[in-house]
Amino acid sequence: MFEFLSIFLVVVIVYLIFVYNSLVSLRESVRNDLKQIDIQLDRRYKVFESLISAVKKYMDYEKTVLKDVVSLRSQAQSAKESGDQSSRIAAENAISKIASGINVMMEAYPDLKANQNVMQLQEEIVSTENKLAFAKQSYNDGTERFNAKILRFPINMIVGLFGDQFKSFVYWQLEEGDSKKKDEYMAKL
Amino acid sequence: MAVDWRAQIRSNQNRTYCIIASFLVLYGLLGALVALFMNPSVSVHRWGDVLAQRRSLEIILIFTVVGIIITIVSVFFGGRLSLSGSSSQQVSSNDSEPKLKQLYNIVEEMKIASGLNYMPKIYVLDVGYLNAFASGYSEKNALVAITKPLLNVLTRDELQAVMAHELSHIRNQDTRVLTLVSVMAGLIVMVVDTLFRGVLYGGNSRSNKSKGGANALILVVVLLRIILPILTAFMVMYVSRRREFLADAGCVSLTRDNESLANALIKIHQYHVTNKEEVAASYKDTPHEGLRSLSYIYSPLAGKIKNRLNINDWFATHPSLEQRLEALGVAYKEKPDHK
Repeated sequence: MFEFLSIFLVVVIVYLIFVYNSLVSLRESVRNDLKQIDIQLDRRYKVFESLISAVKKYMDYEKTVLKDVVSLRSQAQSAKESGDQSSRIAAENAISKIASGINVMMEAYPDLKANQNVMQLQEEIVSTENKLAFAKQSYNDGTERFNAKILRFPINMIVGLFGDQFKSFVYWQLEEGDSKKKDEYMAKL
Repeated sequence: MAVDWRAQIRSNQNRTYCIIASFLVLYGLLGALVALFMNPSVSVHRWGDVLAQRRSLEIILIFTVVGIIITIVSVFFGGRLSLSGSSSQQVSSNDSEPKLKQLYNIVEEMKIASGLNYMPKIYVLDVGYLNAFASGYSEKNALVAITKPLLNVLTRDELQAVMAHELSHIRNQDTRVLTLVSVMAGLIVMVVDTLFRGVLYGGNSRSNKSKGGANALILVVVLLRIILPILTAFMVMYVSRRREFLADAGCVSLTRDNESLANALIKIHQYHVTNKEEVAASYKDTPHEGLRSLSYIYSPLAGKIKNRLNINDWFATHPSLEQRLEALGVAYKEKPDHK
């Protein structure tokens, strides 16, 4: 009886170690993805700064835009420092909206479109937004794998044993109202 | 995710060990063969005694060491070697040409999406056909290469799809297996080829001096030229036939877009079909195609372009375009007016 119990105990401990390790590696990969998003957000801000200074000559549109980007960026920074993930996501998403706005605005200025510098910056904006999107995609995929792991039976019963080390991550997404608006969007010509 | 590329990585790791082991065994056996060749009059039951002789053992040892050297070269320089035979240009982050800068950006984007830790080197090959490939033993010395005509005909989205396909190969470690197989099989052929040409064209001046010795050398080189490719050809069997499907699937899961890859493949295919003669000539005129042909995103065989001198072309190493498009969920009909 004692042998049976001790074998059972060993099996349980080995299982727990296995679960713990796999949870740690999944969690760290999500954290790494999150850092990647930070890097890309930072990069995007720099690209914007150089873009805005390049187009300054051509349009007076930039004054308000520059103000908006700077204030949204500082909102995002303070939200990041206070650990408020969802309001940070909201601020960064607002900058993304401005980015697509800038590309549309540029179409209206022919000599701006012909400017070599601006053309390169346009490619930079596309690429930066893509990089950000792919970093978010990678983060969301990792979040999906991690969240599904800790929510699935039997790990959902065990995860409490490790304290609050394993909290599910928040998906990076558009705000509720925003996605509804985009869903109902119709092109008017 | 639906595609289990992690399983592919595990299977590729096992394949790697098998390839290296069988390659070294192959070279040992080749050494034994040469040792027996040097005592041609011996009957079958005395082969064991011949092989136990000091001289035979030395020959076997030399061949094994050559095998080990080739393995080391493949591991460290495999990627670089796959570019040989054509002029190539490396693309860097501060290229001023818009198309090259865009290519760099795209690869960087796909690197982020695929979660690779190192940025692969990017090369543009100045040759006359449309193709792209990835190579390199490890993630650290991996490279992706695209030919100049292909770079020029693809849109941004299609270029992204092609690069996502290549980076999936790197992530799945297909490049490791492919680099080992093609470089191990190709490198020695390269060396023997050079000797072969030297023997063929340099033969006249030497024939007057020592005819006997030169003839034996010619015989050995010619024999190796014929036997070696055939012996190493079976290493192609280690190459997974599912790898292209997995890389296509990886591309879709990275870009969340199946149509761009399908469009890119169709563009490449149609170019191969419509300009068949030029493209075939261009493949033929580029030396050392064998080092790359396994890794191409699109096999010229699918465009009915065959090079009989290239051992890899004896095998169906790539799935057909129809199969790949079907797996991508895109319907394709050959244009009736493509003549």
